[in-house]
Amino acid sequence: MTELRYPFAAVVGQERVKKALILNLIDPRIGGVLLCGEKGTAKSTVVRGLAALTRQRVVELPLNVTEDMLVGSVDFEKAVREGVRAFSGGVLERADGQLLYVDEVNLLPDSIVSVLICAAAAGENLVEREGVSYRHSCRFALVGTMNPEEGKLRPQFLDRFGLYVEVAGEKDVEKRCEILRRRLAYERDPAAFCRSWQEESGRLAERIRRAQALLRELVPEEGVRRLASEYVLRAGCEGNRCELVLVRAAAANAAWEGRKSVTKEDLKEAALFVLPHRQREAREPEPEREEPPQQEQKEAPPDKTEEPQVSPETQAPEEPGPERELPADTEGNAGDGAPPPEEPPPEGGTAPEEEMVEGEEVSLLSILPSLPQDRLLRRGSGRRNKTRSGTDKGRYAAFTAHPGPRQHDLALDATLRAAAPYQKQREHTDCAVAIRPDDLRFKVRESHVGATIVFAVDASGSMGAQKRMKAAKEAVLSMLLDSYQKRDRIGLVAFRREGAQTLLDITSSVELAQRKLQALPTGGRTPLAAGLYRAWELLRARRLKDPEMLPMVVLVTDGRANRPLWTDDAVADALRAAELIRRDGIPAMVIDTERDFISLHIAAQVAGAMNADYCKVDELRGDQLRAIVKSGTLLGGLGD
Amino acid sequence: MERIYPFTAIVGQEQMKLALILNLINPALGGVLIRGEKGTAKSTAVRGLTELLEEVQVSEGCPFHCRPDRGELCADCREKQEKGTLRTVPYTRRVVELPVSSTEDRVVGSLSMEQAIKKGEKVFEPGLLAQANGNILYVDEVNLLDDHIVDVLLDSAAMGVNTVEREGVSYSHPARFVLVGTMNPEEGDLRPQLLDRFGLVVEIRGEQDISLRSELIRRRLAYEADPEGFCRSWEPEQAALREKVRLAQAKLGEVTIPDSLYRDAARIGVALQVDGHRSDITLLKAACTLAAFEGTGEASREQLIRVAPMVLTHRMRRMPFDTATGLPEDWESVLHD
Repeated sequence: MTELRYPFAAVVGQERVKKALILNLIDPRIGGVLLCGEKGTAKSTVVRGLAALTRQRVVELPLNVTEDMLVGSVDFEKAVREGVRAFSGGVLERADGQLLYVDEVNLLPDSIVSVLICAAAAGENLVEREGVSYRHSCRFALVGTMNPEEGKLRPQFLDRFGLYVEVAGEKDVEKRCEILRRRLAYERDPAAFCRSWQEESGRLAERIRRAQALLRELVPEEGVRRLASEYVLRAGCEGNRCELVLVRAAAANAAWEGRKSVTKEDLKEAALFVLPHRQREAREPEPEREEPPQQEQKEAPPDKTEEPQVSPETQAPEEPGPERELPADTEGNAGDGAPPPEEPPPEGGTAPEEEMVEGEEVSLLSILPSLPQDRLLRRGSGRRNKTRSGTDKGRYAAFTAHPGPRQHDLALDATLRAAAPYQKQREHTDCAVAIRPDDLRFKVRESHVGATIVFAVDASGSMGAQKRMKAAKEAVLSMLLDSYQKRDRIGLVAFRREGAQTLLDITSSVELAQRKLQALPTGGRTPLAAGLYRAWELLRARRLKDPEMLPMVVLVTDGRANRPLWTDDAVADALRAAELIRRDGIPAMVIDTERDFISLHIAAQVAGAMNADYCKVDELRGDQLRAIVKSGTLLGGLGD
Repeated sequence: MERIYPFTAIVGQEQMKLALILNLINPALGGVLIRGEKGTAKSTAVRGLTELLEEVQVSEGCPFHCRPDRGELCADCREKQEKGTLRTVPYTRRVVELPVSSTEDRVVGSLSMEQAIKKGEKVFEPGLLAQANGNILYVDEVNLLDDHIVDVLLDSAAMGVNTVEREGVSYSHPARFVLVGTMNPEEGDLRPQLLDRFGLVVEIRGEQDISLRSELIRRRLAYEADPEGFCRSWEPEQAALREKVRLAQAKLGEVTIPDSLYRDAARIGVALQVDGHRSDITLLKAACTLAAFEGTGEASREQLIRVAPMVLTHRMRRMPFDTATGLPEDWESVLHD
């Protein structure tokens, strides 16, 4: 496109974003940037403006990319015409030595992410598919932008981004005015606007070139490297790449400032880009205190195991040699390649540098933005995310020669590639390509699988007592909030008096569920069995329509069942209904609202019968509840 | 062909009509999302836009109907332009519908089956986004659209370019369109990122006024009894609106923005804690467009305040279940701080 892009130099504010990108232009081996922030903050504008400042190209990876276009595949045109199996390069080949830009990177399908991670780790793209064997070097700086509201990233993927910057809008009225003025001026006449910034852009490009030249002479000293390791250890970051990137970013920063040596300030500035997204454990936002060692230990208790495993490729130092394919076999690095980051730092005085580090350390840690992981990292079973769908729904991700019973979609491109090499031998009608049944390839699709959650809420008279209902509503509301973000589907069943009532059939409108819930009256007896049975019925009916859904029941009750469904015993009936849910393998959770001194523990029994997670409503204030759902214990623990 | 119910004959729903007209005048506003219950003339209004759209000059034979006067050309057209063989033909802009059941390959385009099998050639077959370039892209029930289609829409809506890397083809073409969506919020919500891409959002309800309602029914019945005659009787109004839109388009570039208005827009953005800067920018652009429509040479604070609800409602940071709009009752107090 020849269109005139908004000049990088004309972006108001966002200094850290610009700095991070510039550092990458100075030294592409830093490995790219992840820009994370709210919508409408010039994230994409800045990245797209980069192209004018460098000889590198910005290669865009669109979200609609298919696997074969990413890694490359057989060129069927050539195959048909010349009868040769030639390889036609994909996006990865074009990205070699360039910037690879993914807008909305968190929306990238899993299969594509896996390919990217492998290629980035190996520094080359190795293709073995459709009868071609091909490899090419593939080193790129990965630039991604994302809005955390839309989803998160896998840890290995996160680590592939050299630097991380959080982007926020300007809060200052004057600056906002300037942004408005420039933007409108640009839109009115892009050509004139770009011309007026040409000189400034030229200056910037020149300064980057000088920094690149300077960088070649710049060798970070031993002390700087040690300090870098120290930072990394103390921040509790994973892997060795972190140090490497840190030293490089610091060096690039020094070069940008026109200095010939790397200072502590450079390192500190670089650390703010390099460390945040790599910290292993979420740190409490801590006040500045002067006792680092104890705090460290608190930050990273060694018994935490629910963190994703460090995969072999994330530990790999990517520096040495392009000939290495997968770094898991690097003997020499096995030792220091995986120092357990939880290891408490040396208790003092092990290295002479320690003293010089000590004071800096605390202040550094306290200014690091806390908890980016919570916003970035995807946890849990992953079952609420994209999965291969086995049907005709979803996006075209890959192809297969052996389709399942419900995959009927012809993958034309793959079919042609399969048929192409044999065209010379085959008889032709009036078509250029003769296709035989065994050439046929079918599309494998990926689709988003959200959970389908039915809330069964006790609305009996006993729930009216002691604000039980209020607590229950709060609890359900906070779970609804989470469903809203995950785009789950939900249903709402209330039970009181004579039986259960479906307040809301399964829908994706969380807002409607919330309204129904607010208006829910209480009173009468407790037909617990009927409530559970109705929830089970709803899910079962839904499952017939959509066998791939992930069902779940959340029961909110005080457990005082006193209205039976099948027999005379209300509690026994409730247990029987619970058993139905367990037998169908539907994950469940029970929120017990009983607050009486003398507890009957019926809700707990029901939870046992359903094999459900159980908790007291008092233990669950809204935000905690959300945390539970988020961390995936709910679905992860009961998923199968 | 069946006649479309005339836009000007729609009773009431002034906000919705204004939002649509502003987008006709200024395609850079970023589209409209119309949220409302069933049977509130949402689709009628959007389809009615067809008759208000103007004729433009596009390059001949181009599947993306590139407009040389706008400077955004696809690779083919650029090549022709350099060779001096680019010719233009008249083309009436239109409303392109994207059905909820669309598949990704139909939306972004794919490998042409015919060319591939008959001639063994790799040729890109343009999809709906190609048709939408320079036009209005209408998604009815936009909230029911599959996630991956939404992602693709976001991708090209953001850049005005559709980049395709799939099914053996690698292609990129201009895809600048006015995105118009309608939805019934009871059937689920839109993702925040897509919501933010809509420049304007209007919430509509059925008219409550009895006399308006009966007028509405009267017109509808008249239309159904004799579409041809009904449309003819509304032609003067339609022509007047077309003319007014055309005039506004011509004037848009000359509307001036007083210094104080920049500050007002920025202040509103800060005071209401909107995400990012897109809302400030849209606010000013919408005010300018309104000024062009109303024939004032300068955008005013009053005009800014009038468009503010359409620009801001969906961009305010609020919990998903807040029923309050969060918009200030008294704009002047926000602006006077």
